[in-house]
Parts: sequence; structure tokens; C-alpha cells
Amino acid sequence: MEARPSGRQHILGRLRSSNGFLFGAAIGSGLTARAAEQGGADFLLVLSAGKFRMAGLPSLTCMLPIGDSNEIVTRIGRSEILGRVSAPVFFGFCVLNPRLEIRSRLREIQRWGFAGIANFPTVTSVEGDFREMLDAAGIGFEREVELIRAAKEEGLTTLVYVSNAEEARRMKAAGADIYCASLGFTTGTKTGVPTRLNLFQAIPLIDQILAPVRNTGSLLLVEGGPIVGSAEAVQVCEACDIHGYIGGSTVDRLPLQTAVRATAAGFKSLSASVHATTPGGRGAHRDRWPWGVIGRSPSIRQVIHQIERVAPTRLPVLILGENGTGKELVARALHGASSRNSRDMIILNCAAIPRDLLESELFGYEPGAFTGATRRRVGKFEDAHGSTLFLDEIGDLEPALQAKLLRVLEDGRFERIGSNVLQYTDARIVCATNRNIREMVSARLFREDLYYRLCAIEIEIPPLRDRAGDIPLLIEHFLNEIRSELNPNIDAIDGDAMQLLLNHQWPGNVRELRHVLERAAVLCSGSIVGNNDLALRGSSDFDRFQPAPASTRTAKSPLTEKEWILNALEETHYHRTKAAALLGLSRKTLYNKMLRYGML
Amino acid sequence: MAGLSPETVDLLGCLPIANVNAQLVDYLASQEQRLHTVECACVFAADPFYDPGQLIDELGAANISGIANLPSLGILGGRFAEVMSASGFDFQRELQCLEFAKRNGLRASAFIWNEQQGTASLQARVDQLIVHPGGFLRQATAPRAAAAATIALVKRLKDRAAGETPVLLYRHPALYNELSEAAALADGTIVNRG
Repeated sequence: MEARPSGRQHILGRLRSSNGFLFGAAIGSGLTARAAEQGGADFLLVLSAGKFRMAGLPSLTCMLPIGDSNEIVTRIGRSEILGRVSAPVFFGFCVLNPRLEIRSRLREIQRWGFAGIANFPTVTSVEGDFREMLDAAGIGFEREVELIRAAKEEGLTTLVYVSNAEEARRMKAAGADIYCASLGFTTGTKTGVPTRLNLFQAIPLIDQILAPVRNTGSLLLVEGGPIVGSAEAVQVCEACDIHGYIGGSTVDRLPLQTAVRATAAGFKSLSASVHATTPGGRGAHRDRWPWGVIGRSPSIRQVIHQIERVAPTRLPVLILGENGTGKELVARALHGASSRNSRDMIILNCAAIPRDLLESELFGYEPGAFTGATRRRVGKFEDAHGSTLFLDEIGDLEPALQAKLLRVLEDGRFERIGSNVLQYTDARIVCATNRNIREMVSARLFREDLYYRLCAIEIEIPPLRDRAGDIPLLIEHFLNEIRSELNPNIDAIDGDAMQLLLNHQWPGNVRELRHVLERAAVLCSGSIVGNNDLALRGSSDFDRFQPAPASTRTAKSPLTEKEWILNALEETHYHRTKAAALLGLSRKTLYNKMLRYGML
Repeated sequence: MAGLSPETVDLLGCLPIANVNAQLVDYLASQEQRLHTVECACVFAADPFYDPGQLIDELGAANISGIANLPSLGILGGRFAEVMSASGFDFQRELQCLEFAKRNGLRASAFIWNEQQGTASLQARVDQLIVHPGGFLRQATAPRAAAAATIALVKRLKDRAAGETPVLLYRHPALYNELSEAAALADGTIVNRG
């Protein structure tokens, strides 16, 4: 019996020595308890609400007559958690049954190995007539105070949920150890509840609730309401100068929903692609191909099939596809899968070079061929001898050059500019365009004979919107690259973001997807990319992420003030109190401004 | 809950200290004289763990011929009722269960606490309304006012029902005498015999 008070002191000491931010996980299953502890939770709180959340119900069902709350917590705690975790475990104790012998139940709780108790479900989450009825029936807040007093006498650590200063004051008189300002049930997602509070309003409310127990050496925490993630929790705790946060829905329901949705979306989209392909075909389950081609949709498999068939030949190839679909990647694949791959592929973008220069780039020139041609220069055709010449944007080639290209394609012969000597090249010609080359032929903008020479082998790359099943694979691939290049903390994207990306039309195709993910990885403050981190063309967020035109940025514009605040935050390593002092602002004014500029 | 006042027991029925539907099903299953038909079993009709079909199947095995929504979320008010309702737990959910029971051949009785609930129940074509005189606090602190409000509610609902649906009164023990006038107005009374 002597050891009990020191046990309580030991637990409080352990929690006080927690490294910085104190985090408690309010859970209702062994699975979530162990996962939370592995993630670093400082203590666990077993609540009936946690069990109901695991059944897909909102936390507030813990107030319904669908089970004996204390029996539920006892069963979960004893059969799934105690003895399986090393973090202190608190028992969510319900005092609503007037027949319950509080003292004897507390002794059992202690004997089973719980470190402490909390008043939960609690009447502090109830307002109005119903709350008054509970108080009048003798099973209201006063009975919770009695619980805390008794628990302390029994040597258990006590954690109390309070929703106003008066409750905090009464719990202080009872000798509670840890105070949690309750902002009500957590908002957000379909099973969240509406709240009248936003984060900014929550801060003064927390200050007000905990005012009577400040500077008493007690641990001060917050939970619920508008706090739906770690970033908000840390910000609120810092702004209120309290020790930490208790997460319930934010620890199990919200992340589980997100992870399961994302996983299911991944399975579903891959499954759709697999079913659409020929069953049992070679490589039916492959999704990553040599040369960096990624996808298992029927259309991308058709591209792979064409590459494999065509690569060993020396036939010219015309690659068609919208911007960003990966035409150069396919050209590289053709080269890489050919016997010419010991030499580098030569690339020339026909649209990027002025017409006068393009001819000399392609065919080379002799000294004196034109002003400034002081010495011989070998062209791309000669460079690509024995290799592959990739002519991108072939639709932009001038008619005169089209004729010369046709000749090279027919017999490999050409002349350097300023020379009559025939040169021979064994270059394999691969061309690409995003233009409608057939229409250009009809409009006499592209030579028909050249088109027929080129289109003997035509590879058409599907736009990304027509192979949405490949999007999860591409995302995974790009996130792997982004992790090593931009942000090592990025783990994945959440289900809502995945859904958004799957539904987007991708006018810029795979290149746009990569850019969207890169930008999100830079902006994302945590490890999971969410909807808010994505800026897609055609969405209002896209404009939000674009730099403002220089002319709109004046000395007194909000953007300048935002930068001023950002600079101060960076200078003070994001210590808000120091940043406020540096800027000559109060902490609250700084907080206001950060809120205004979307920095919170 | 022997020894507790009826009004406290009313309140306790709404609280997370028992699984009231499971207890009811177990109780009915344990009765030896199962040949007798139980005219009305009071259930928590918003139980998220009981699909109405499953609940009615289990009750049907015990010769139940009717159900009523008690305990009920109808007793709640204010912000707490608002957040409960936003999560799908409210009187309307109970009414859906009663409608389902009626479609499946059971007699559906709706306990109601206010005119809005009474009107919704009439629209749902329940078989009878049972007017509850109000919460614990009203009964304890202002019995006359509670009785007067109950009389007015019975009158209005009888007008709305227009003789098509019986409007009964739950003659709550805490207000038994005060409710005599309301009882006279109602089409019948339900009494609590403990």
C-alpha cells in the first residue's frame, strides 16, 4: 500500500519529463493502443468512445444506453492493453450509475494495473436541461468530483476533463493531477460533429478554462473541438502555453479512415487495370517496365508491346501524344531496347531552334558555308550514326527541311551545308509530336510522303486521364523520387487527395502530376499529403499557389506583411513568442495575422 | 434500479450504464410464460448496433405485438441534442425504427416530448402517441407548469390527430395528481407500476 502514492508520483514525474509536447492517446482497442505507443504516445486512455469509433460510430455514442461504459473499458483494458504496453494506462471512469460503488471499483482498477482514471464519459460534454437533470439526480459533475477525490485517496493518478473554469476550480479542490480543457467532440469528416469554435476562438477559451489551475504545477492539456491534426494541436498548445494534447478521433478514426480509403483506392484502381488486360498474358501483373515506363493499364501495355516489337528494327517511328505524356521516355525506351544502346541517343527539339540554325544543327556545315562558318561542324545525323536520333516536335519542321529529312529516311544520304559530298548516316530516326499530324497533312502543312514514311510505325501514348488506373502507381513512383530529392518526410497521400488526383483531368498529363506532387511535398507540413496541399489546374487552389505578378506586390500589400512575418518566424526558428517580440507585436496580434494569411 | 425514484429511472434509461435493448431481449427470452403476447415492448429505437430488422426479429421471437421508443433521445434538448442529431442520433431515427416495425406488422407507439415530435409521429402514421410530461427537472422544480404544458400539448395533438390516431398520456408518477386534467383529455393513459 505504501508504494501507491509513489506510483502516482512516478507516473506524474514520467509525464512531466516527457520530451516537450505531452501526447495522450484516447483509444478503444489493443491495436490502436499499441500503435499509438509505438508512435510515441506518452500515455494511453481507454475509453468506451474509442471502442465505438472502431465500430464506425461517432465518439458521442459513448453517451447512449448501448452498453455499460465501465464494463466496456474494463474488458478492453484488461484483455487487450494492460500488460501489452509500457505507457501508463488510464481508465475512462463513468459515474452515471448511481448504484456503482466508486471506491470499490477504483480499488479493482488499481489492482488490474491501470495507472489512473479519468472522468469519462463526462457530463462536462453535456449542456442545458439534460446536464441540469443529471446534476439534480446526483449523477452529475459533483459525482465526478467525488470520483477524483476518492481516486486520489486510493493513490491513482487523476486526469480530469473540464469544459469551464468553474469545473476546473472544483476539480482543483478535489486534488486532480492532470487537467484537460475539453472543447467538445472532435469535428471533421462525416462522423465528426459541428462546432461553433475555430482554432482562433479555441485559444482564449482554453486560457479561460484552465485559468484556475495555471501555475499550480499541474499538467495542462487540451482535446477535441476544432483540433483535427498534430499541427493544430502543437500550435494551440504553444499559443496557450500548455503541456499537450489528448487525441481520440484524431488518433484512430481520422487516420484509419484516411489510410484505409487510400489503400482501397489503390487496390481498386490496380484491380480495374488488371481485369482489363488479357488474363494470363506475359507480365500481366507487371507495373514497372524497363526504361522508366510505369503503368499496367491496357493502353500503356500496348505501348510497351509496341516498344518491344519495334525497338530491334531500324524502322523510323512516329510517337504521338499530348504534352507531358512521356514521348521522350518512349523514344529512350526504343533506343534502350535496341542494339544501338551502347551509344547515347541524340535529341533535337525542332521547335526550340530557329529555322536557320535547325538545318545546320541537323546536317552540319563546311567552313564558309555561311557567314560565321569558320570551321566544319558535324550535324546531328552524323552524331547519331549507329545510334538513334530523336526529333521532338517534328510537326514544327519547315517544309524545306521536311524534304531533306525524307531523303535521309529513304537512303540515309545527306550533304553538309556548303558541300556537295554525300554523307551517309546509319541513324535510326524516332520522331514525336503533340500536334494532329494527319490534319497537318490535309492542310498541306506537313508533307504527305514524309508522313507515310514516318507513320509506318506509329506509337500513340494515351493521355493520363484515359489511364487513371495508373495514377496510384505513378504517385508511388514519384513520391519515392521526391522523398530523396525534396522532402524525406513525405510518406504518402491521404484518401481524399488520392480521390482528387484520380478525378482530375490532367491536361498536362504525367508531367503535371509530377509537378503537383513536387509542389505538394514542399508545402506539406506533415508526412501525409492532403487535399489542401494540392493545387490542380482549374481549381481555386491552383491560383492560390501561383506567385503573384510583380506589379501587384506593393510595399503595403498583405503579401509583403506575410513575408515580413515569415522572415521573423524563420529568424526565430518558428518560436512565436520570440517572433512577436522581434516584430513588435503581441503574441495574439501575431497569431491573428498568421491566421489571416493562412499560415495556421 | 429498485429503490430509485421513477423519474431518476427515466433518466438512467438514457445513459451509458447498460445495453438496454440487449437486456430487454434477454429478459423476454428468459420469461417462462412466453405464450402470452406482450403488447408493447419499450426499446431504444436509435440503437446503432441494432438494425431495426434484427431487433424486431429478436423481439418477435418473444411474441411481441408492438414496440415503443423508450428510452428516447426525444428527452434531450439544447446543444447536446444538436450534436447528437448531427451525428444521426435523434428522435427522427427512432421514428424510422417505429415506421419499420409498423410495416412489419407490429403496433408502433411513439413517446413524444413536444409538438414537433408529435406532428412528425402523426405524419409517420404511428398507431398511437404517448405524451410524456417532460424531463426530471421540470417535474421536480415546476410540477404545475409541467402539468399545464402537458395539458396544452395533449389538446394540440388531439386536434392534429383528428380522431384518427389515439393520443395517450404517460401519467408519470412524479406528476400523477397534477396530470389528472390531462388524463381526462387524453384518449387513454399509461401508468408506471414500478
